[in-house]
Amino acid sequence: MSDAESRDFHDAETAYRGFSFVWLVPIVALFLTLGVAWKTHADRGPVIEVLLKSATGVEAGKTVVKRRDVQIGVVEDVGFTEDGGQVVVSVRMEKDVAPFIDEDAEFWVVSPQVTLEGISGLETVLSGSYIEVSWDREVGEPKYRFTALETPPLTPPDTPGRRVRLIAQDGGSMSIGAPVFYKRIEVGRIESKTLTPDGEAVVFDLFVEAPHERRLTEGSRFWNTSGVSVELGAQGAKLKLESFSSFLRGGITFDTVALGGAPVQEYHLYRLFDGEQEARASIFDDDFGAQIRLSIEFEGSIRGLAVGAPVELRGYRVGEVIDVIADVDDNEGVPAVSLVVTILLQPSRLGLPKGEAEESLEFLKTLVRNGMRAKLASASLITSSLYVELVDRPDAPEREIDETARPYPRLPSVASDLDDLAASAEGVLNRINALPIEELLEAATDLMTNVNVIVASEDTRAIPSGINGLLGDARVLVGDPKLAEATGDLAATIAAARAIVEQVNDAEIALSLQAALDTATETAASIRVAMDETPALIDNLTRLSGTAADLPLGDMIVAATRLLNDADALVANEDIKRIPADLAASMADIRGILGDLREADAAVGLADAVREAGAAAAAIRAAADSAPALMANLTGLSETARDLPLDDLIASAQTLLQNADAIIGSASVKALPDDLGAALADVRTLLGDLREADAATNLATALAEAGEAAQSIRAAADSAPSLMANLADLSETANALPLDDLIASATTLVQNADAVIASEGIATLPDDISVVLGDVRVLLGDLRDADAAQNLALALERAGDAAASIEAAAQGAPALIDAITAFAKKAENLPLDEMVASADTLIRDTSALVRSDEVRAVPTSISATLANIDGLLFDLRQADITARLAGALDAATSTAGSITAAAQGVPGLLTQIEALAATIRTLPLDETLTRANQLIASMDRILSAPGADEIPESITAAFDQIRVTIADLQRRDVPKNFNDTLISFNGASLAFQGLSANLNSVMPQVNALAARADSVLSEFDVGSELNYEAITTIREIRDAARAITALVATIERRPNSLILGK
Amino acid sequence: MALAGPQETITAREAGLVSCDNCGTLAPLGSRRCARCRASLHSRRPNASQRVWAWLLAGIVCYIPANLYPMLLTSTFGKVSEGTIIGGAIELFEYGAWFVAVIVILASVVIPVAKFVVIAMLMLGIRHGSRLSAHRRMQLYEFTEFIGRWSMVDVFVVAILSALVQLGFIASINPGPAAVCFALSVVFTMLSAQSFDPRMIWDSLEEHPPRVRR
Repeated sequence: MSDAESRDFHDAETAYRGFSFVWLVPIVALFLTLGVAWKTHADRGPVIEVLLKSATGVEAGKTVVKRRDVQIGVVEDVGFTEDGGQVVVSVRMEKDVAPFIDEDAEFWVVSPQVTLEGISGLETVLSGSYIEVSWDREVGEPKYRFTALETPPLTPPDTPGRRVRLIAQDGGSMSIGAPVFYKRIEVGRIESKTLTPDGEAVVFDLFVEAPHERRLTEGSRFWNTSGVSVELGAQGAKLKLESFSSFLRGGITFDTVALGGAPVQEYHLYRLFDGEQEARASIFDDDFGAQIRLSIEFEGSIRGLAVGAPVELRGYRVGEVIDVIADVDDNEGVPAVSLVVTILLQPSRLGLPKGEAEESLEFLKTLVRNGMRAKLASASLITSSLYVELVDRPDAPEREIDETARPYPRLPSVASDLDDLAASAEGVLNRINALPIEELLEAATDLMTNVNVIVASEDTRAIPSGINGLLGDARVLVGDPKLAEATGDLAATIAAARAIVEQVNDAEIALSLQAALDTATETAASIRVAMDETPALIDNLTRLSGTAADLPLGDMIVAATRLLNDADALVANEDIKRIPADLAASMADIRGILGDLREADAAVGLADAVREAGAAAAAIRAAADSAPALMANLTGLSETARDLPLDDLIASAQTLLQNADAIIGSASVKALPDDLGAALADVRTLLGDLREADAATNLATALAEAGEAAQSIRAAADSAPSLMANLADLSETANALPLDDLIASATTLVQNADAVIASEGIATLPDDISVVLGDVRVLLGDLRDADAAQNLALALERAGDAAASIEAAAQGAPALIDAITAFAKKAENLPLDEMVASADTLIRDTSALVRSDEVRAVPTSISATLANIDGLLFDLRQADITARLAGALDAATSTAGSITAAAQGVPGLLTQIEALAATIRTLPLDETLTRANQLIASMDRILSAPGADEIPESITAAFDQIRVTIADLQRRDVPKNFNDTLISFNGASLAFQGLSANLNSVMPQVNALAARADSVLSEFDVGSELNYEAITTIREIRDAARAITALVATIERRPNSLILGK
Repeated sequence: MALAGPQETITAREAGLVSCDNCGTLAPLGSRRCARCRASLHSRRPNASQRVWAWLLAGIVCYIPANLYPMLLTSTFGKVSEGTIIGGAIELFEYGAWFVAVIVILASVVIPVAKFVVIAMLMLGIRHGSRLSAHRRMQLYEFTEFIGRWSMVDVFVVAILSALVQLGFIASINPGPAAVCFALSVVFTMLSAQSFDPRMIWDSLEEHPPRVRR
C-alpha cells in the first residue's frame, strides 16, 4: 500500500509539479490586452465642447467632425449648457489634431444648403450632417469650449490673401459673400458688412485671394457694381451688368487707377464709390503726391460749373473743381463781386514727380509764362454743364501766377467763347424751328398712303408668286439633264483633248511639230492675207454659180444631143467611109512630094527657116512672159463676160444649133462626102501635077523667102513684149469698156447668124463649100511645099517652154485673183440689168431685121461671095503664093506658141469653169454621153476602115507625144486629182453657197481667230497649262452651279427671304 | 444511482496499468508508448492542472477586450457604427429579433462564461472537493467540451458577414478587434478544457470523499 501510495503521491505530485510553459500564454495575452487597452486610452484625444444653437442633424456617436473631409472626431454626447440655453456637443477629437484646436479653431455644422452661389453640402443628404472644423497652422493654447458659427466661414482662416476694409455711405445692395471683381475676374468676396460704431457709415470687410492681393495698392479704387448700371453721358447711354451673381447679390469691383501706389497692409481702408466713373475720376482721395490748389477768377457767368467738374489739359483730366465762391473786391471804393473757382491739380497727372509741391508749382508757373490760361468750356451742347480747360494762348498778354492771392495762388483766365456758342446754337434752333416740318409730315403721310395702296394692290401681291414661278422655271432649267449631259460632254471633250495632248507629248514630236507649226504659222499668215480677199471672191463665185445654175442648159443639151444624132447619121454615111481611102491616096502623094523635096535639097533652106523660126519662138516666149498680166486682164474680162446675159446667148446658140442640125440633116450636106471625095481626088491630081511640074525648085525659093519672113517675124516678136504690155493695157481698158454692148451685139450676131443659117441661102452653102473645098484641095497641093510636121514639132517644143511659163504665170495667180475680185466688184456695180434689158430689145430688133427679106438675101450673096472666093483662090493658086503660105504657117505656129503661153491664165479660168461644171453635172448628161458614145463608135468604124493605117508618120509621132504626155499626166494622177478636185469643189461650192451669206461678217472674225489660234498653238507647246486652266474653269462653273442650286433651294424653302432680304 | 465507491472500483493505475488516451489500450504502467497506436502514454497528463489554469486564465483575459471592443464595424453610407457583442445583441432585441438575440447571447456570453465557471469549478473541486458527485462533474466536463466549439459561431458569423457585405460606400462590414479577442478566448478555453484530465476527478475522490448525504 505504501508503495502504491507513494506512487500515487508521486503521480499526484507530478500533476502539480514544476512550472509549465503554458503559463506564458495567459501572461502574453494579458500583456497584449493591457497594451491594447493602454494604447486605446492613450490614443484618445481630448474631448471638447461645441456650443450650438440647435443640434439639427447631430447625433451622439454618429455625427463626426471633419476637416477637409477627413474625420478627426466623433460626437460623443449631445446635451445642454448648464443654464439650458444652448446645445452642447461633446466631441472626442483625434489626438494628433488636438494641438491645433486652439483659439483660432472654428466649428460649424455642415448641412445641405442652396444659396445664390450654388448648392453645397450635398453629400450630407445621405451621410447626415457633420461638424466642420477649421484652424490655422499654428499651435496655440488648447481650448476646450467653442461656439459654433452659424454659417460656414466665407474664407477659411489659412487662405492666402489679404483683407481690406471699405467705407461707404450706405450698405448698398451688397450681401455678405458677394463677389469682388478685378477686371471682371472674381478675386474675392465680401466677408462682412457692419455699421461703424457711430452709425455714420458702413464698413465692408473684403477678402481678396492670392495672388490677386498684389493688385491692391494705394492706387486701387473700389466701386459698387451691384445690379445694373446705366450711364448717360456725352458718349451716349451705357448699360452695364457685371455678372448675374452680382446682379442678384451685389458686387464690388476694384482696379488700379493711379500707377505707382505702394502695396497696402492688411485691413487697409478704402473708400467705396458708387460707380466706376466716379472711382476713376476721384484721384484725390489718396495722397499720391502733393496736391496743388489754385484759384481762378472768371468773368461772366459760371452757370453750369459745379463742384467736381473736371479740369482738363487738352482733354486730359488733371484735376477737379473743389470750390466755387463769390469774392468781394473793394475795387477803388466800388465793391465788386468776382467769382473765384478753386481747383485741385494732381501733379502726378501732369507727369511731375510726386511729393514735390514746390517743383510742381514752379512747373506750372513756367507753363503760365508760356501762355497757359484757364478757360471755361462747355461739356455738352444739351446740358449746360461747364468744365475748366487749360488752354495754350502763346499770343496772350504775359501773366504770372499770383502767389499772393487768397486763398490759393491765382491762375490767370481768359474769356470763354461760350456766348458765341450759345448764339450759334440759338441760330441753329431757330433754323430748325423754321423748317416746314408739318408740310413735310403731310407729304410723308401722302407718300405713305400711296405706298400703302401700291403694296396693297393685287399686282404687288402677285409678285412673290411670280418670282416663285420664275424660280421654278429656273430650277427646271438648271436641273435639265441636258445641262448635265453638256457638262459631261465637255468633260469628255476635255479628256479627249488631254489624251491628244498626252499623245503628242508621248510621241515626242514636239520639235517637229514646232517646226511644222512655224511653217504653218507662216502659211497661215499668207493664207490670212489671201483670205482677206476671199470673201469678195466667194461672193462673186456664188453669184456666178447662181447665174450659171439659172441658165437653160438643159434645152441646149437637148439640142446638142440632136445635133450629135444627126452628126452620127452623117458619119454613118458610106461616103464618109470612103474618105480614109482617099486620104491614104493623098498621103501617098504627099510622101511622093516629100521624096521630091528631099531630092531638091530643100532641106538646107528649110533648116535656115526653122532656125529663124526657133529664134522667133524664143522671142515669142519672151513675149509670153508678160502674158500672165494679159491673162489676168483676160480673166477679169471673162468674169465680166460671165455676168452678161448669157441666157439669151445660149438660147440663141441653141436655136443656131437647131438650125445647124437642120442644115446638117439636109440632103446637100449628105452630098458633101461625095464632094469631099472628089476634092480629095483633086488633091491627088494636084499632087500628081505638082510632081510633074517640078515644083521642088520653086519650093526651095519659097523656103528662102520663108526664112526672110521668119526673120521679120522675129523682129516683130522682139517688139512683142511691148505689144503685150499694150495688149494688157488694152484688155484693161476692155475691162472698163461697156461689154454689155458687145455682148448684145454678139447676141444679135448669133441670132442673125441663126436667121441666116435658117435661111434658104444656107442650104446652098454646102455646094459652095464643096467648091471651096475643091479650092482647098488645090491649096493643099501647094502646102506640100511647107514641112508642116516639123513646124508642128517645133510648136510642141514651144508649148513645152510655154508650160514652164505657165508655171511662172501661176505664181501670179493671187494677183490675178485680186484683179478678178476688183473687177468683179466693178462689174457688180455695172447696170447690167438695164444693159440686158436693152440688149434684149436690141436682139429683138435685130431678129426682126434678120427676118427681113434683105437679110434673107444675104446667103445668096454669100454664095456669090464664096464663088468669088473660089475664083480668088484659083487666082491665088495661079499666083503661086505657096511660099507666102508657108511663112504664114510658121507665123501661125509661133502664134500657137503664144496662145499656149496665154493658156497660162487658164487655171484661173478653170476655177470658174469648175463652178460651172458643178452646175452642169446636174444636167442630163447621160443621154448626151450615150449619143457621144454612138458618135465615137461611128468614128471608130470609120477609123478602122482600110486606109486609116496609112496615116502619116508625123501625125503618129505627134500622137505619140500626146500619148506620152497623157501617160505622164496619168502617172501624176492628174485626172484623178482633177476629178477629186471637182468633187470637193462641188461640195465646197454648196457649202460656200450656204456660208456666203455670213462669210462677209465672219471672215474678219476668222482672221482674228486665226491670229488667236496661232498664239494658242504656240501655247500648246508649253504643255498642260491650258489643260489646267480648262479644268479650273470647269470646276468654277460647277461650283457656281452648286451655289445656284443651293440658292434656289433656300429660296424655295423660304420665298419670303426675297422680300426680307435674308 | 449507485455510484461505485473507491473501494468498489479499481483504477488502471492501481492495477498497474496505463490506458491509452487515444485508443483505450491498456499497457503496463511505465510504458512510454502505446503498443497499438504509438501514442505517448501517461497515467495522468503531466502538469494538467497548471495547463488548465493557464489556458483558462488566457481565455478569460482575452474575453475582456472581446466584450469591450467592437465586434463588427458596420459602415452604411459613410456612417460607421461599431457594435460590441452585447450591444449587438441588445440591438437585435430592440429590433424584435429576440430569437437571434438569444442565440447570440447564448453563443457569445452564456457559453463562454459558463465554460470559465465550469472549468474553474472542476479544478477547484479536484483540489478542495466538491459537493457535486464525481459522476456529475464528469458529465459537466463532457458537456463543456461538447458545447465549447459552438462559441465559435459568433466568429464565423463575423467572418461570413465581412466576406459578404462589402458594398463599398453603401454598406460594408468589417471585423472589429473584439472578433480576434473573442476567437482567441474561445480557442484558449477549448485548450483549457482539453488540458483537463477527467481522471483527476476520480483521483480527487480519494482525497476528498464525496460529502454524500447519507
